[in-house]
Amino acid sequence: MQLTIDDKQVTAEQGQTLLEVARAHDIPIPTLCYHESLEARGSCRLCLVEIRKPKWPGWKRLVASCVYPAEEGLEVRTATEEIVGIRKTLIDLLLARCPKNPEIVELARAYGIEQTSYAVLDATRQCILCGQCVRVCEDIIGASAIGMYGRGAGKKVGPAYGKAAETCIGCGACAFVCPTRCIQVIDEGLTRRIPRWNVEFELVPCRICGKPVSTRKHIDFVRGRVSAGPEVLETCSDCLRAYYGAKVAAEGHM
Amino acid sequence: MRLGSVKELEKRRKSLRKARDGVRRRIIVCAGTGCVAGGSLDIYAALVEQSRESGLDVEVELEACGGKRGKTGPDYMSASGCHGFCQVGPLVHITPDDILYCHVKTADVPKIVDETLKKGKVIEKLLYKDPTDDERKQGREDITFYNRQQRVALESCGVIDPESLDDYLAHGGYQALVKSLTEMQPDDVIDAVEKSGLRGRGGGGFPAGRKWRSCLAAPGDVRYVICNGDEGDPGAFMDRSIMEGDPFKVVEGMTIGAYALRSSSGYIYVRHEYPLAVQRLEKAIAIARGAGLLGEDILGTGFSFDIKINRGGGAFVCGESSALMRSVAGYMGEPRPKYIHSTEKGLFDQPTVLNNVETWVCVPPIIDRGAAWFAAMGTEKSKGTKAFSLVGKVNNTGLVEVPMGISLREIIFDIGGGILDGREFKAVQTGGPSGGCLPADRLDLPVDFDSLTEAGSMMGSGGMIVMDDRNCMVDVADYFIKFLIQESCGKCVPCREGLVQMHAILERIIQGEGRPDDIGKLEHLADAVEAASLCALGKTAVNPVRSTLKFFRDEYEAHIKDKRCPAGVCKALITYRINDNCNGCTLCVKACPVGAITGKKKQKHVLDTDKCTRCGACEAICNQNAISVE
Ligand SMILES: Cc1cc2nc3c(=O)[nH]c(=O)nc-3n(C[C@H](O)[C@H](O)[C@H](O)COP(=O)(O)O)c2cc1C
Ligand code: SF4
Ligand code: SF4
Ligand code: SF4
Ligand code: FES
Repeated sequence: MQLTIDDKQVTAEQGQTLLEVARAHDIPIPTLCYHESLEARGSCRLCLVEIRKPKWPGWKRLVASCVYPAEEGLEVRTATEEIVGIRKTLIDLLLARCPKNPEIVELARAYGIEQTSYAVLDATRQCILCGQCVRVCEDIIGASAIGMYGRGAGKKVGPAYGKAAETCIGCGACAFVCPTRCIQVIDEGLTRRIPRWNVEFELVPCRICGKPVSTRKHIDFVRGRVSAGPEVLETCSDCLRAYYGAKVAAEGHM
Repeated sequence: MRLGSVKELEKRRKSLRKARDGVRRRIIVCAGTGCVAGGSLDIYAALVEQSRESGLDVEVELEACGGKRGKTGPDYMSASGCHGFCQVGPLVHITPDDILYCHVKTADVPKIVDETLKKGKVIEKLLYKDPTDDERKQGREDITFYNRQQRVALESCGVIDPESLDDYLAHGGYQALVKSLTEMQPDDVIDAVEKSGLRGRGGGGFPAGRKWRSCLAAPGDVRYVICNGDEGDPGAFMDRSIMEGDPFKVVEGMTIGAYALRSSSGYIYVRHEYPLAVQRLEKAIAIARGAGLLGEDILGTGFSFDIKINRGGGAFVCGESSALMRSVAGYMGEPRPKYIHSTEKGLFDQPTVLNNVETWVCVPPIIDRGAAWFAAMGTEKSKGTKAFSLVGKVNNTGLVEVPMGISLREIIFDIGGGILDGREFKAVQTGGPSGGCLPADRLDLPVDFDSLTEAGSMMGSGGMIVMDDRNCMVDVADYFIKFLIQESCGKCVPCREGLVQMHAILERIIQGEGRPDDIGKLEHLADAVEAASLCALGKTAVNPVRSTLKFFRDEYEAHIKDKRCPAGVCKALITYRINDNCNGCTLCVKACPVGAITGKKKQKHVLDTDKCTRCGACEAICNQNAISVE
């Protein structure tokens, strides 16, 4: 199907979202709660775009492009004065929430905001409640160790009742996707800690080089799901690459 | 008793009507939540017992009223749902004499039996006292609170026995379902609803017929109908009263909708703070199922439909359609972006129709009396009637149902009997927490969906809070924003963070620390929150601030520039003084916790404004009106 984004004619496939179409055509739209491997949540509202339809003159609407499906003939604008203004206000609000988070501070700077215009109620906050960690843990990893609790301004992300995340396997995927980098994964010797979720794990050293591969719980978790032995699961990625590289060089195949 | 066919149902109805026609008097004791709290169930039991003891012919089941007693048959005593006038409850209504007894106590029962039921005399002191002229008024016909109303959704509320299918049938219940099943094709039903002009009563005002039609057109074999009984607006109780007072009509309305939509499964989502509504609905569903009016092969027509009750999560936002459907499906009640309509992908991703309680109960009368009858009421674009819960600083508070298009003035000054204590009207807040406040010069506005929205408020589900000159509009706006902060699901940034910041600004204005650019900041935030929020909660949450800024801007300015609260509400901005009314009674001296008041007995007292902490204890205790607020 055909539509226009910022007056540029683009093609899209049925089922694609406006954000996907825009990114496929190198048209930038800022996002905070979006991740291409996760189901879109539409909650940070930074990806807001304006849509118009030629068949309804005068009609326009602001929609979250990460969830809005592409439509034949749609006219999309990603950076009108109104939209940029709203984005700035949203970022300003996030800066008031997390005034010391480097990622948010940097984002605000990019929009010309050095200091928030709003009241800082708790300067220690780092999490913007985008829910990426929760979605990756549930939908990709399958551990469902953390969730969103409470509502409104008191909403929190973490293990149930603020206890230790019992089903957490210590894989670190949540920290990897977190846009504000506010989940710390601390490896010391053969111990991994994720203080945010109140968990601690034993790390398994690589069979070959002794460098930690991952947590025992993670490896056991994966073992239950794939048919691979310790020669693969307990080998670090560098050594695996070296081993297969040598094998391919010697035998011409894997 | 199972009614296996339409014929059996009509036979049953005929015999019940005969019994009803034999009833001499009908004595109705209100058993709505308000009156039950006032002891009405004991009153009912005492009335039955004592009148039987004194030899009156009394029945408590309609069925038993028949027989050979003719016109001078028994008195039929039943409990009913809410009469809408809880303020003067517990209520006992006697028909056909139209005697309404108010504030009834169990101790009044012997007198009611002796005087009224035996001798036919009216007990003057139990009648409603009209606050506008201090006269006693006998019945609904004489009381402006009732006689200016036009009841459709609430027609049987406070009349029929909500636990009796018999009573419902005698009142014409299930006539509409029979008509739909026997004389109409499903599409005819949708046509009728569309032609009636019925718009959703839950807030949005979306045309019900159009919603049904698009659901029917959506691909899929399984369709759901849902009744939204979440009623999260604080102070509103229209839906609760209907569910408690006329549960069979909710069930019938949904059954007709299911027939039109070829759906076999329905849900009623009830707020968890409404135990009585749940209980009455459960009972009605069980009775209807037993009677063959719900379940497999309804009335032998081959049509099957059943209803489950779902108890809500208790959050205001759970009333929002996508959050409600998530909640019914067992997830957290968070709204989802709705670029695909729930009529196409709703509950369990199947085509779904969600309507409000009041919307559903308008369906049976529309089918029964015809679309034209309904469309003849109301205005061009808002047909029919609407129930409101009228509260605040008015003389008569309660549930009122009026034709659309009636003016705010008629509701507040005629039905409501004007402002309490003869004070001055200042504003009326319509539409629930995210509605707007309208000032005196909008009193002649016709009450319908579009006029209210245009004026900067909304119909919402029908909350109406009246305010007088002692309400501070900044404080009012802050009150609603605080409510919405608590009720926001917190999913999206503008609503979660934006409302908190609006509250912070309002709070400092109230504390006397408002800054010159605060009004501009509030407006800027309101624009962003409205434009960017994910669901209608956030999008409309700014209405209280917007509308008060529009109509009462001078009050904001007085707070910010003059450090003064004109209504004398915001503690940081008021000064208490003792005026010449003071007779030196010394009450305030004892009441003041910080010893700021001094003076000799029988001499005018003095208040030290520097010591005063503005707690208001002196004002509350003074009975001479001698403490003024500036
Ligand atoms: C925050 C929020 C709360 C709502 N609460 C209710 C409610 O308590 N009851 C209700 O019927 N509709 C409520 N609605 C409206 C519903 O989303 C929906 O529009 C309505 O139930 C549809 O029925 P209707 O067309 O018959 O009004 C709410 C909407 C929002 C945004
Ligand atoms: S580290 Fe724990 S919480 Fe994070 S994604 Fe992995 S299992 Fe989930
Ligand atoms: S911890 Fe990070 S990923 Fe998780 S909700 Fe907060 S900001 Fe998002
Ligand atoms: S607007 Fe408010 S209630 Fe609605 S999804 Fe966003 S945070 Fe939740
Ligand atoms: S990326 Fe956050 S709302 Fe779309």
